Amino acid sequence: MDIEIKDQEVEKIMEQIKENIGRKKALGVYSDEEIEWVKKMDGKVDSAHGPADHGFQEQLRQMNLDWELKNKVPILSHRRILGPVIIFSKKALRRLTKPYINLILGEQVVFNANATRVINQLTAKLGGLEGQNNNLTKRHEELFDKVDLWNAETRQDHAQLKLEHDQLFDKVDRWNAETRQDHAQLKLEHDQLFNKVDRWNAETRQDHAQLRLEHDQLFNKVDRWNAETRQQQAELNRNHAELVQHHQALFDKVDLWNAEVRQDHAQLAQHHQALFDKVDQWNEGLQKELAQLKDRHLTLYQKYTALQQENILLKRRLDIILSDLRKKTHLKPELARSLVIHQERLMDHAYFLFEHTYRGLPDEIRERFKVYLPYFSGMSDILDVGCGRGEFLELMREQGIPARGIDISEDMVYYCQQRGLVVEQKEALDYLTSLSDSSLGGVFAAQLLEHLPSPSLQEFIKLCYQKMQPGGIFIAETINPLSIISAIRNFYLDLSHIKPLHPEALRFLLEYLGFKEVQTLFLSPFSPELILQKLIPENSLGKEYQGLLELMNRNIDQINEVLYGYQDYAIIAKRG
Amino acid sequence: MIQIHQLLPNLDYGDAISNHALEIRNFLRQWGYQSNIYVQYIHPRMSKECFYYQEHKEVSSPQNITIYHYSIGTDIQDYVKKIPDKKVMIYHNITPHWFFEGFNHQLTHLLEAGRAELKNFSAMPLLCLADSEYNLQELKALGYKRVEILPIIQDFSKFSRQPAPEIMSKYNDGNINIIYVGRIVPNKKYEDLIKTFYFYHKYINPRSRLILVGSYQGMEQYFIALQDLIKKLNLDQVIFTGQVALEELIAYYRSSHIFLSMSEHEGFGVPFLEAMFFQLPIVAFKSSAVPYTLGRSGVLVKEKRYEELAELVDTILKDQGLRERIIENQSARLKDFDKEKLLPQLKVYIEMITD
Repeated sequence: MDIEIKDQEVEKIMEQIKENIGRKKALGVYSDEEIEWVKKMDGKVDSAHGPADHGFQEQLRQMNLDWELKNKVPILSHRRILGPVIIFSKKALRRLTKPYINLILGEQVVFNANATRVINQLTAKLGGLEGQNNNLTKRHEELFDKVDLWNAETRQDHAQLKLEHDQLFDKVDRWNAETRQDHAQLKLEHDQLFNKVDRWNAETRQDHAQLRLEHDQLFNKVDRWNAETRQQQAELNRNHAELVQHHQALFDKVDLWNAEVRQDHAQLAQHHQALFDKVDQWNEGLQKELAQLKDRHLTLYQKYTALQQENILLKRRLDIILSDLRKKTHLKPELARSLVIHQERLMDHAYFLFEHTYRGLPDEIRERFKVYLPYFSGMSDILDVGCGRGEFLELMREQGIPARGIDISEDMVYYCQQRGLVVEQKEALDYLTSLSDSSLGGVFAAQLLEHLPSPSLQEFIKLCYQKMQPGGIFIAETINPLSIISAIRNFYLDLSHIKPLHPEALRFLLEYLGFKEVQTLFLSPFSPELILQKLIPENSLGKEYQGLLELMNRNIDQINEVLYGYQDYAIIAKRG
Repeated sequence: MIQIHQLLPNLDYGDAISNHALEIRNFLRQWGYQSNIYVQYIHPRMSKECFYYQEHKEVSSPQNITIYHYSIGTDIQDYVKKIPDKKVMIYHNITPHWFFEGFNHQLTHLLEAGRAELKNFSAMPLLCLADSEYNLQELKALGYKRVEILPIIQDFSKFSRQPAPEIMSKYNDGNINIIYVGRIVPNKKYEDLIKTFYFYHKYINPRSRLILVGSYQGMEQYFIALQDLIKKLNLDQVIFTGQVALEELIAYYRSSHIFLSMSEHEGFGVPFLEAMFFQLPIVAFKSSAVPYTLGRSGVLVKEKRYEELAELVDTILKDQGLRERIIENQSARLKDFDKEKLLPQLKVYIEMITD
């Protein structure tokens, strides 16, 4: 082979090629025959291997030739003279008719072209499919070969497995024989064991007979002991009968003693009855005396009530008379002023009566005031402002503490003076103003502050501070408005009350005006039977009700605190 | 101003002759000529680029120049004869009819008649433009007086597209791919490619395949015969792709290692330029326009000894130095077909007529 290449190594390449081929041929890779065989193969369709038989190929070839329907018949004539004329006219005719024929045949030609193309493509595809089919057949044959190979291998494996199986069976037989031998051995040992057990059984039976004999002997012994015991019991029975006789004798003695005691008792009962009779007689006498006293007391009370009513009527009458007198126009001014004072005093007298009726008895009040004693202990120049019936002053006198009082009510002042107390009829603010500063050892004012209007209250406290010595004690008692019941029942009971005083407001006022060590003392609790009663838990109640009960009791405590709190309180302060 | 129009049988998308015609038209328009393309068959994608040849009548004039691409079996040839324009013929060659004997009788007849007619109308064009020296010689032998060479103008920028990924992944598998590109027609001697591949695949490198890219439409008989041959040789690695899209063509070129041609008749051989572009070493049978197109590049064989051809292919694939030298020469040759070089030649030829 000759090659053209713009390269200096052309010859070297060709030599290499030739050498390669020579080596391949020498090695028998391929032969000259094979090269010749390939060379001779042409690119023409081989009907033997083609997609269809030769007739089909011929028809296809014809179809490819004829689809265009062109008139391929050459126009010829064999006539010597007329020939050219005929040819000319035939050609002219063909040329004239050609457009019309083409018009008609045009569509047919298109169809033929398409049909031919489709058939050509189908043929090509058929060729391809046949190629695929041959490939598949080839693969199928290969698979069959493989299957045969596998079969052969499987047979070999099977033989191998059978051999192994037989060997296993032999082993199993051997194991069986061994197992049988072991079994016989075990049976022998088992029989020997059974014999031993039989021997032990026989021995046990012998032991049992021996034991039974010993048992019978023991029973005989027990029987003997029983007989002896019975004899002893008969003896004991005899002893018992003797003891019963002794006992009976003793009982007889006790009965005798009893009769004697009863006789003594009857005598004592007679004495006792006589004494009772005497006490009854005395009782009767005392009863009679009590009835007489009660009658007398009733008579006195009726007289007292009648006097009180009479007193009220007289006061009313006096009031009317005073009013009538004040209406007179020609009265002297002094007389008119006197009339006004008399009428006011009449009202004070009414308050005296009111306090006597509602405030409580003087002894009770005095008892209550004892709570303040420790504060005034060892002091002097104590002023009781609004001393009323003088219960506090009496208490001071008892304790030897020098004290004096003032009150606006003539009746109160009179009442106190009658009892020997140092009391003057004075208006509080005027009186305090008149005193020299730091002259008082202490001030006491019970149930007074609630009677004062706000400016007077401040003025009063300020004056007290001013007139007291340093270290002096100021105590004021008033109704506790934090207790709703006390506020309703006590504060509003008295028409002359102006303003209830909150404990904290009062404390603030005192501290504001200079007092030190201010403390509040709550007093006069309601007696327990007057307040709301708590629920008493019962053991039978379930736990859930216990909780409810406790809640309820807490609520009751809170309501009691608000409704039934302490009725009064005292504010206690020191001048610094 | 004279107008210069082209007449050709069909304007296809991606076809070498159609691209050639478009390049010529664009160049003429750049010069300032009014220039259109008139055809008998229009590819739907090209409808904006051309007109039906019947419309050419409206621009036909003795002052104008008509460039007609010589063809057979169409009405264009008959039409050209009737118009008064100054005529320039572009000749892409006619395949000798004997190649088709036994495969397509109709085509065989047409080719024979076409060649006869080519001789009869040798006086008609003022100028002939042949694709190659080979075509020039043929025309001169047929009696044509003024013949010049204008190689087919190719725009290689179209190859910068992404290759079809499925083909890239399928064929870049370590196997050697031997490629040939061209319509499946008997003159291209596919049977010789297959026979060469037989020796290469069976006795040198079983890890190899022969990729044959081209349409076999209208050549079913030949295709069947090739299948038959492959079957007889018991080969299973010969791939017929059929007609392919541009992306697929790029992928096949990029997946291949060597370009092998056994063609015995080429008017020009556009795929040789493509192989040069894709830097594939070319081994080609020396025939017709093939040596003119390759110049002094590639490897030309004068005989077809398949076992030796197989060894030659193997040598080129194994000898890297040799392969690189071949590719270098091919790349140098490819520059001769640069359109910047070719189009000025066309200008000279046109001026020859207008002056």
